[in-house]
Amino acid sequence: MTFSTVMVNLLYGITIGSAYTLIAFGFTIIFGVMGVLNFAHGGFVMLGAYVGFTIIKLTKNFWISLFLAPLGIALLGGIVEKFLVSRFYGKDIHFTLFLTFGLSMVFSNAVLLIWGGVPQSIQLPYYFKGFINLFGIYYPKFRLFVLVFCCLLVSSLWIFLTRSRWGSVIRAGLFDIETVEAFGIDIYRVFSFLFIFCSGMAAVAGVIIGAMRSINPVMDLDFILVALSVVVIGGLGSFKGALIGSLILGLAEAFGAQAIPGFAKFTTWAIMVAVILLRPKGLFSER
Amino acid sequence: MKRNNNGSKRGLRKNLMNRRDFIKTIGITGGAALTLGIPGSFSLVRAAEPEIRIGHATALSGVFAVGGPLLDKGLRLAFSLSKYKDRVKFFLEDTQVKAEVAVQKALKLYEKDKVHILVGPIAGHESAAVSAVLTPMKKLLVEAYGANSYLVGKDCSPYTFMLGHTTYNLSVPMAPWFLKNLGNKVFLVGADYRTGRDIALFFREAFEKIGGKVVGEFYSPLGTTEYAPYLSQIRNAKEKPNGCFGFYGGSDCINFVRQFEEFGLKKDGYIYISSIGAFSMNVLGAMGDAAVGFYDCFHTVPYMDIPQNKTFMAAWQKAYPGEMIDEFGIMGFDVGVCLVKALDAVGGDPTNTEGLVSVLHKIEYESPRGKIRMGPNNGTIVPMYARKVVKKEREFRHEATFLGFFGTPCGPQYEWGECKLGCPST
Repeated sequence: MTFSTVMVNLLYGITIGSAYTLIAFGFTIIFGVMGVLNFAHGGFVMLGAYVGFTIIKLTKNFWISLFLAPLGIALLGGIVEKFLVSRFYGKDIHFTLFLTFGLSMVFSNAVLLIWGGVPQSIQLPYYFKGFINLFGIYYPKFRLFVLVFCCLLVSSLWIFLTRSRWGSVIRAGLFDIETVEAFGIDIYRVFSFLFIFCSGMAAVAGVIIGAMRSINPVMDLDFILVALSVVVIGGLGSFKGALIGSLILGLAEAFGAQAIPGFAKFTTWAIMVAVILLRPKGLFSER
Repeated sequence: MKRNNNGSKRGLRKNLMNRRDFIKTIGITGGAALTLGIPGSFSLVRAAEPEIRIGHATALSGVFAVGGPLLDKGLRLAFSLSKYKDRVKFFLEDTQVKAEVAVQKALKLYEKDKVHILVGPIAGHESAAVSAVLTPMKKLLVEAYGANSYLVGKDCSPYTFMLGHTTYNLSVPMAPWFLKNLGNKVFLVGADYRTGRDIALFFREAFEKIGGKVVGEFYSPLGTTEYAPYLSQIRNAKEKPNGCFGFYGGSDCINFVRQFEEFGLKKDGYIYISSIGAFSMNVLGAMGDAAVGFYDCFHTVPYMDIPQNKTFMAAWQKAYPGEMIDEFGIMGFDVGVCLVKALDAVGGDPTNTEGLVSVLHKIEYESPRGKIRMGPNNGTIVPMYARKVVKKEREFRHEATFLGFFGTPCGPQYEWGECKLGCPST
């Protein structure tokens, strides 16, 4: 493996891992704070990609799509939380598991009905096409944008979680909801906010991943698998775990495909098994 | 009880029709009706030609969810243009691309819906399963796709007809074309499953036999979404290939082609050549300009400038305004054209299965694909084309080069063995 190959795979792994962070963050926080194993999370990513695709088709503007699609999906997330998920708070986790699993099927079929089964892809503006020479390595401009954009977004989230009052509430909620309520904080408002915010984040990931890959009505399964893998590797309810887990996943995919092409996905599973055996709660579990 | 004049119950009944009178009346009326009216109706029924019941077990969900409905549209269109348009009745079922479901649906169509002809499933494993069940029952199965080499080899059946293709006849014809047009060095790529591997294997054998050289190869798992690590292997090959040949389908192909361009391979003069018509009309839009200049191999060319295709295109656009013409639609139409011709040969009698079988076994017909002929192993010998993706007036099209007529040979030297019905030479 040459130096340039290692660098390309490293960059590629970090880029895709950073995009995975946006998905995994929402999944792990919703699970960690709200106790909802949201199987519809991949569906929100998929809907974000499809809504983004439609907005770009109508407006020919990637930025409008990157702004409006998450907004629309966040609104949908709000509706889902208000009218469906909130009914099962405090009840057995299986209720929300089955509910969100059913929702994911509704989303897939809705996509099939509205957009059809033909795979689509989000077309990029001309200035994102082509490459940038990074120390002798030609790297696609858009991938570089994804890397920078995701780093900025994840950094902002980190600051929000560690420096803001709401961030403190969310972090406290990971450990003890009753105590948070005892402080007079309406935890159900926090839940609503989290669900809306995480749905929007999933849609952001949908738009940028949809611009790198094809989008189709079964893509949600890939993303829910990504989120579950990250939770297993990084640990439940841990923001740090989501970040590190996503990067490990991205790098494992990149180097695994390079080293043992036929068993690329095996690398990811091998890491997951190793983590389960050595640290059953994940690398950075907060619970 | 109110009594009649003679004060008895019997008197009351006297005014009513007794059982004997009733039977007599019915008998006379019935006899008259049979003599005068009903025989007329009976003779009319006898004269009316029987319904042609066609079952279509195809994918309406799963990976071929797009193809199934289009195949069905094409099939119906062909019959709507024929003299059987008022007699034909279609029964559509979803196989979900699962062999066991396909078999259940095939049996349901034959046993419950009483279809006369079954147009078969899309995927190769479904076709094999359905054919294995229907053959002992002497039931007809016509495959539009069903790319299964064994069905034209040792598992061939006098009742199963493959109008589509196999991995063999979609890869071997490209070897001499590659050598002549691109060069003698190829990098083989593909999705790591039976079809992807077979395509590469058949191409390699044919290519090396005529002096070609394989400079590298990789097979990525089915459903891979990120190809960057694989693409760097093409760049790192010891010798720069004249082209990369292989097969990715659907979403995999979109991702592969877009990333092929994204990571600069296209810019650096690398080219991708696919098999099984991967650059079909319904995915070209999603690939965008990334696919322009690349090639694939297929037996169908939408918008091809031949009279049969022009007729088809006009009919399609009239029947389904605004809907893109694509390969699945053409294949469905092709099956319809073939069945109409077979029905013509048996006097329009769909119940004459043995007659249809013997006609189909030797059938030749003109379709939007060109001239089609059934091979002795019940697999069609079709015109094969190398298709270059081009962009004309903001629309994606194929520029086709005719490669020749190709069926799927069989015999002990091939993995799929010998068909007891016979084997074509090409």
